[in-house]
Amino acid sequence: MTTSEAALPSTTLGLEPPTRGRGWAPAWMRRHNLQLWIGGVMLGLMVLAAVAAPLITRYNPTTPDALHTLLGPSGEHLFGTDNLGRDVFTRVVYGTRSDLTIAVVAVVAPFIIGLVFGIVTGYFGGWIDTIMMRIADIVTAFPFFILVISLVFILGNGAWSIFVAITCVSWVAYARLVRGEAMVLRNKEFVAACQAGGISPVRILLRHFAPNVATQALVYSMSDIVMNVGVIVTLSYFGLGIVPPTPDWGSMMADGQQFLAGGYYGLTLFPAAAVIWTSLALSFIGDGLAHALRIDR
Amino acid sequence: MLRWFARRLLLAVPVVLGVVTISFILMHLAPGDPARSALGEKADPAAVAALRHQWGLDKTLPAQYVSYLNQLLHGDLGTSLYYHTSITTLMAQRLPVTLALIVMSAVLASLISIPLASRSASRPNGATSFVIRLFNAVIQGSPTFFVGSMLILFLGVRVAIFPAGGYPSGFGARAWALVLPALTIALSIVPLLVRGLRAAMIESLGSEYVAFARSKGLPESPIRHRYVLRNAGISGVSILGIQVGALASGALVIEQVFAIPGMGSMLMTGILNRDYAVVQACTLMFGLVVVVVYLVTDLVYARLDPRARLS
Amino acid sequence: MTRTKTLRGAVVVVAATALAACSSSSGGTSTSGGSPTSGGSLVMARADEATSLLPSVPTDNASIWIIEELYDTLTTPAQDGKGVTPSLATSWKQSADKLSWTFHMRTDAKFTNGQPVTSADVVFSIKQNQKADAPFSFIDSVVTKMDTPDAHTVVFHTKEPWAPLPADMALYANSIVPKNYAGMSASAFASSPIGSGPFKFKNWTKGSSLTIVKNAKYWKKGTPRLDSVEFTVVPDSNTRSTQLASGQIGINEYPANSSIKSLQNQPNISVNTFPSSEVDYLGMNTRRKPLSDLNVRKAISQAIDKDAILKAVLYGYGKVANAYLSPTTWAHDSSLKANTYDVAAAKATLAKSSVPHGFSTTITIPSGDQNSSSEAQLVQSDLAKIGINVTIKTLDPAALVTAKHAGNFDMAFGLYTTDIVDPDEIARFAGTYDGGVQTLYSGFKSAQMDKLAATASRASDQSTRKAAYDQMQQIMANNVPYVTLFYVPGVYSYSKKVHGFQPGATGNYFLEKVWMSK
Repeated sequence: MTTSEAALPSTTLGLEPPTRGRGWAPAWMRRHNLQLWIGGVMLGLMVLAAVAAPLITRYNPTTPDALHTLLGPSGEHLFGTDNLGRDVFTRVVYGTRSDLTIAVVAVVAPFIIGLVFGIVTGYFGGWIDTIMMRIADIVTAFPFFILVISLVFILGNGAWSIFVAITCVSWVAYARLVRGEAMVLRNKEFVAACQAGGISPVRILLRHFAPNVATQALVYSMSDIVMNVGVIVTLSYFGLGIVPPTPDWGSMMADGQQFLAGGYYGLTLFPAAAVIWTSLALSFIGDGLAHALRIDR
Repeated sequence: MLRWFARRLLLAVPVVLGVVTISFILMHLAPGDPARSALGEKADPAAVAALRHQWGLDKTLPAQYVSYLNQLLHGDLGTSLYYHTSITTLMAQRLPVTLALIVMSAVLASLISIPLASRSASRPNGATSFVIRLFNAVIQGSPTFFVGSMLILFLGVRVAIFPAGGYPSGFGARAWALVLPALTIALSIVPLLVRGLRAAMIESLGSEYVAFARSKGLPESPIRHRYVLRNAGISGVSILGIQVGALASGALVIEQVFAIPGMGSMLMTGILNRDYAVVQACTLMFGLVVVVVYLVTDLVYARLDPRARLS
Repeated sequence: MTRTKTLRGAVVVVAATALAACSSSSGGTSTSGGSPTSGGSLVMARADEATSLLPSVPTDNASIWIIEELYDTLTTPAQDGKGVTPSLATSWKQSADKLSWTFHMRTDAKFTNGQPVTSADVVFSIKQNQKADAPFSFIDSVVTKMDTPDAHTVVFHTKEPWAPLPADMALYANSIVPKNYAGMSASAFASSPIGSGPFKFKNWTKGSSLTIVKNAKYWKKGTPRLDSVEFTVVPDSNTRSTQLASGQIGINEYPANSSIKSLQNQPNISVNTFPSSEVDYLGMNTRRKPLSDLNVRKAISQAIDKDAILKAVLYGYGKVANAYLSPTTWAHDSSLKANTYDVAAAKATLAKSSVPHGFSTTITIPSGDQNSSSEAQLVQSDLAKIGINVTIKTLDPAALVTAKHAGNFDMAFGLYTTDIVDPDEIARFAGTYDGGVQTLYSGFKSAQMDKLAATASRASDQSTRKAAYDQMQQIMANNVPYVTLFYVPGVYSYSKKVHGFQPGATGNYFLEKVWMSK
């Protein structure tokens, strides 16, 4: 742990890619990298469902139906209907479109910002590092949800503010991760060789640093997507996320809570299952990627 | 050591100042008017203007910022615009609740993670390990508010062992009421903790210490306890330290779910009513807690790990 | 009066779940138990915490309803909300020129510090509420001067003839405090308030509970019967329900509508709805096109299936509104025909408008408010049927208030309640441009409404006043500056051991009448 220069520890512990150290899966699974396949299929099914939603279900996800409210699961309504009479299965499927898209897209900007930030601080070190890491510290020491909530207040609800809010916060994890790797790489021989050969820092950074360091960040981004799903869903739960009537797992779960008492568990549990399914799929993919990219041993 | 400590404290100053500044800017940028919140929708615009003047909200933003900083320097957190009470008083009632919740979460998280991690580390590629990995992924994917409401449903209502939320009076009853919310928050960091502990355990199981002990014919169990747990403890402490932010954020959400009158609910009311002083005081407190815990983490780390002491 | 803002999503959770635990056995009929006895401690759980006990400061119900137990007012609202009854004042009379009111006060009333309640205290108290930054200063702005001919007589001089003055004097913000706050600063007084009401302030632990105890020297002999009342803060409605079921609390304020049915099945619990002056409405910004077009507004009002919303969102606890003045006031016109639900008629009305084939607009709802969200989605689908394409926008509650004041919205839900029992306040607030917030933010302006409101407040005879109010309700129905939706009652569930609990139309608890059986 680097303790000398930081107000906060600059370690990457706790932000590690899912499988640093050793893989978790049995040997037979690892041999053919089955984790990557299972995760891929699980995620693929979701993407397929999202894309082909109108073919899978004949209901409209947003039109209320006063005559068919709060029905239990049946052949007609696989997951039942909600308090406004809409088909829950349809809403879960359409929810994939909004939630998964935002979660994945929201990874891109923090990834890039964190990558650049981390490489620059890690490579140059010194006062640049000190100043830039203080900025990262401020973000870390700021309560995550306050930041997100106040940003949503300022920008208004909707996908756009969710992007901005997530970006403002989650780049720090990438930056710390990449910075750590960059500091290790900096001291390796080939960098010294390049410097001696008169190659400009920018070229060294682009050619050699970025690809090496990005691998780690890529694996981490899988669990980051899971976290983003969590953030989107929690924001919706507080009424700060996706605007109704667009189906979204978080608001479905929030709206469903008040009907738990009446025994309508499905309203909460089915969207929750979709969230957990997504998380499992991405974890498998993360493990599989780590294995494939040989960073789990 | 002392120099290191002084330096760290010095570096913490801009961080805390940054936190204060950002929360000031964010709250003032958000549309909404604390005077209108306090006076309700029927009050005359003139009454609203009078109150804004009384609270100094009609001054320019930089002027308000300067007088806020000045006030902070004098150790004054200000007065809640909404509750008409000094924030120090409010804080004295709320902060202990949230701190208790965070500490209890950290303890519960350790109690859950250590057995899981050591089980998984002893046979990293076994079936149990894979099951633990699945458990991790499921927990990581479950939003905290969902975990909370499920715990209430099953342990607070179906099998009514715990209160279904709320904060009674009396020490014992209160501690009991905090268990479910603490467990909810604990679960949210268990995946990270298990992963980190497991990695540290695997590493030290393959280390020279252990190999040496094995070669001397020492039985497995003491080896694990002596070296492995100590090593894992180091990484556990630092993960917990780093996750204090996540714990506090978790508390913010979970206090709402379980109706616990801590900092989280105070902050939420503050945000909703644009009670600037409350929000700023809460973020300041939050930032301070994070910075202090990080500092303590590093100190503990230095004590536990001889290598860290050298640097 | 306002309901405190909460992120509602945040508090529904706890035991939407918890209810499941306590809803099975069916109950017998309620037995109201015997003759009143003295003693007992009542615990009432409420969603919100009081913000201040200084009468001239707060606007939230959680504070107001405690203030009404601690202090007296000159008059007090009748339980049915149709008038006022004597309290500190035993009689009052308007002068012959109608420009002043004389109140005669009882002589046996004392503050809890032993000081007698005098006319000087009244003058001081009213002046507090006339201060520029007092939220209800507008109520007392009609009073130009106060005289105290003797220690127990007060004369209020008014700008113009003012029939509502006795009702104004029942407003909580006009509660009587000791002169100069008995020598304390306002903030010191707020933390240890002294009143002459049935109960005495005991202590307040912010965030969890506030306790008041019996004022043994209360001038109304034989009351209060309760030894103490504790108000606890329990934001989650289901936690309150579980606490009531377990006997931990005596009264649960506002159980969730979705839970009422299962509550009614519990043997030891009563659920009651009390008429309240609350009116829910869908506001429209008539400054914006095409909502400026009367036919458009009328079409919207005809296209909304209010009964369906009432059933789906309020679980039937409420009544579809016909007039903008609620039935809790004598001024309510029950014969008025509202724009009833009729899709064909709505289409026909829209066809006559500037946008015969429909248009696009927005509804802004407060974030986290699930009821508003459900209502908005139902309205959205109703309006789609006549070609109006509605987009739902959410804003956090405080920002929404600002947006409404700035006229920065198309449509938005809202509610209003009256603070005084005279129809004057609410008739102006919800019906005139300058009497409140631009006719509930609609921007609707009518000189005729202003004139009628003035006629009604100047006239002293009831039938003249009623005629004016009837006309005002007709004008609002004709012009539809907003769609009145429902009259919503106050709902309480309480232990069958609690007797005599009957909140008034303005929300007053009247706790001095409450008693508990063993």
